[in-house]
Amino acid sequence: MNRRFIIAIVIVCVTVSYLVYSSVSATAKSVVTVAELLKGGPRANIRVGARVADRAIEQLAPQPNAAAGEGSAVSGIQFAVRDIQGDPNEIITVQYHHVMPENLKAGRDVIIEGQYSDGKFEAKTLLTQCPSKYVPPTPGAGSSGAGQSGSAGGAYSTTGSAGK
Amino acid sequence: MIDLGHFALVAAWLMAMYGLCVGMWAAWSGRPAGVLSARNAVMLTALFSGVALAGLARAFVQHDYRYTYVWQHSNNDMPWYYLISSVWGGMDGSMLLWASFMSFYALSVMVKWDAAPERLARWLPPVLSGATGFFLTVVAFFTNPFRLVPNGAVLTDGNGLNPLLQNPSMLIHPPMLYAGFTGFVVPCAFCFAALISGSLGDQWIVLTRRWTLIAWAFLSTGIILGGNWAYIELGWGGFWAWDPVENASFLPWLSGTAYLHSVMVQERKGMLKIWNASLCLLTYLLAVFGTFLTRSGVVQSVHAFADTDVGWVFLLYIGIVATLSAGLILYRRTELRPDKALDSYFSREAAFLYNNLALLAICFATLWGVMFPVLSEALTGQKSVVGPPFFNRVNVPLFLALLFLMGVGPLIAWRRASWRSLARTFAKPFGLGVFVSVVCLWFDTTRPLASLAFGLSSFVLFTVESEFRRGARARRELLGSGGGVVALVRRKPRRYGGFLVHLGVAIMAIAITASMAYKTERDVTLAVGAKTIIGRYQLSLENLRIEKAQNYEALISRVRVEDAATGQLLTVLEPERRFYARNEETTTEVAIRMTLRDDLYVALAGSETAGLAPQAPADPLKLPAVFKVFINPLQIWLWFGGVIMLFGTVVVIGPAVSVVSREERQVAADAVRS
Repeated sequence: MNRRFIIAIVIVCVTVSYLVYSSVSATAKSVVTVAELLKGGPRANIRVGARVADRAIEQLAPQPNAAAGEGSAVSGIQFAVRDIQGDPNEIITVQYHHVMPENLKAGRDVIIEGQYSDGKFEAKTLLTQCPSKYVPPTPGAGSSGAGQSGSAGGAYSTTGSAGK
Repeated sequence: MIDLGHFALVAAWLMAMYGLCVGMWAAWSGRPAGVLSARNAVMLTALFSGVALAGLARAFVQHDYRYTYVWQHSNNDMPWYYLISSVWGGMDGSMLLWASFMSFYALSVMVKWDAAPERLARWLPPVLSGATGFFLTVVAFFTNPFRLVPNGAVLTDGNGLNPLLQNPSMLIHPPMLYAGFTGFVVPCAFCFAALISGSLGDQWIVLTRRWTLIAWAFLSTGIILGGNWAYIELGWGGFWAWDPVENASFLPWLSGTAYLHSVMVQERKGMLKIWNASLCLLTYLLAVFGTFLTRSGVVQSVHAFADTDVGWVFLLYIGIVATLSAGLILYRRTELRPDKALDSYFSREAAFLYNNLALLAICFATLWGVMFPVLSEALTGQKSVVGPPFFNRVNVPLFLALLFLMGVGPLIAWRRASWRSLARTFAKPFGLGVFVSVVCLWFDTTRPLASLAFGLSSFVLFTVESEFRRGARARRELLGSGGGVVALVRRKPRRYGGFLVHLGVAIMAIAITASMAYKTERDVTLAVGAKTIIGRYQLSLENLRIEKAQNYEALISRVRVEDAATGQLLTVLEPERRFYARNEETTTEVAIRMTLRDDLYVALAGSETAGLAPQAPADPLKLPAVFKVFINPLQIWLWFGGVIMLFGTVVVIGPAVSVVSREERQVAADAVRS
């Protein structure tokens, strides 16, 4: 094998490995559950898969848009989530200062990213699960109407997402 | 009574198994009759797969709810074209589509195989049957779309296709992607056959070039259509989210692009033989891996099909093929030694090598990001994920390097380029590129990477322009008359078609840079009659209304768009929100005003219910509406660039007619006479 060839490959590999390593360190988020959060202290840069608890979803007072007043502000929401597997009464509160996704209701699974401290989660992004999106129901089990067979591996909607 | 479609599926599988077993035996022991028999089996596999696919389509169009799959993904209200697209709306049918496409490619190889040397050609039937056979096995035994409804229930209406999938993109995006993925089986099969048979001349690369380009063209189209679908349908204002399934389609595209480039070095210089064989096989493996990712639930994605048991089967197949590939290449490594060594770091061979390294680096980094949750959990016990920030951070520098190479590569000399020749060819385009960068930087000092990207893209544009101009001038000097760009392209389609592809990519790069660096996004609440100013637009909400359609109810807003500076009415947009009662699904229908300068993108996100008692019923017509508004600069150029890229690809693939014009014949005749 040609020496120049190999030198070029090695240089590129080293550079790219460094690039990947530094980017991972800077941007990786840990995936945790609600149960784990409740046990520990404050954490930042995390992603949580949780289920919306059976509590009211409250509106927050509108926050003026950071990006220069054109007048209208968008209010945020505050709701409670619980661990998907665990005790339904152990909840944390989530605050999300963007448009509420319309399919957000009790029993829906969500993915939230942001930081947590002391029972409160400040969500930068919020994704909701579409019901029975790619896990179709089985026929004959109460024919018409959507059956719910959503598992934890189901698909998520992006329409409610993207805070900056 | 067994359906013709189901019967055909089983028959296809049987034919594939026959082709694999008999083909292997016949190729090994050198029996021409056996080889021919295996060849026929490959062709019959394609025929039966086609019948099975047609049978499934029939079941959908005729609302045949005896089949679970048909019930799950269609209902009586759907128009015929969405019924056909429902064939690939779920896991089972999409697997059948995949297997069928692969069998059609195998058929086309059998039709054209006279061109291949016999020693190699005899291995094609078993190798192709092995590949199609695997996917047919998955369909027939794991994800059978012809499964009957349990308990013999008689159903009169179906569950319906997910409304998010009922749009025109669904008709072409998946078939395009699958035609791309499966097409790479052809060069891969030839590579395998060459390695097994020891017939390692470069003919197999030349023979498969057209198939590789066709597969690449389909895959590129599929990816771009996917981005277009995301942009127009999903309402989050972007076209690429580095979602695992998007990445899964991107990985084979990256290695396929690398392969397309490095084979040019093998053709001309007899170098990089092991490299090309490996890339060829890698591309096929990445395509299979991509479909594994989508179907196994290994990583979470908005696109993924549900968790199934099929994952381990795919992994097993990938493992076997990878092991066989590595083994074969090692076995043949002495025959694959290069004819020449790399002379200089400043040569076209080297440029192709750097191009490959950059593409594979992006491929590896993207793969790393996709698999990171699995890897981190396995290695540290704590699951971590990386998102778009990671992918952008790693891939942007690599893409910039690629842009630079796109400009330099086609022009730099083979073997060893001198500084003088480099200066002569590049001085002007490079200087212009630097000038563009400086101008951009002058206007906005906060985004140096964007300025660099604009400069590099311009560099590519200028090199393409200078090459066309130089080529046209050379023709004029030779022939006395021009014929212009069109004649130039027809005379040398590979070279100039390639330039067109690069041109398209450079334009897309400009659009992507503008989108990443200068996009404006606002969440805005408007009551009826209220107005707001965003960027150069003034938006006001004229009214809200509710309309009922056959299977959904829509809240439609009427938004007046005026120029913020002059007050001139530009357009009226009607973004809406649809609620599908049957699935309890809500979708957003975005309204976009596209101009050459930017896209005004307005999505209706819902109603503002602040101040109401919680759980109180709310009349959306009386509440202020909440909008997500994006201004996406130069967005339309992304699609234009894509079209140019694909047009260039068609030119490269197109009939390899060497068009010798009348003028050229005259010149040649004069030269002979004098």
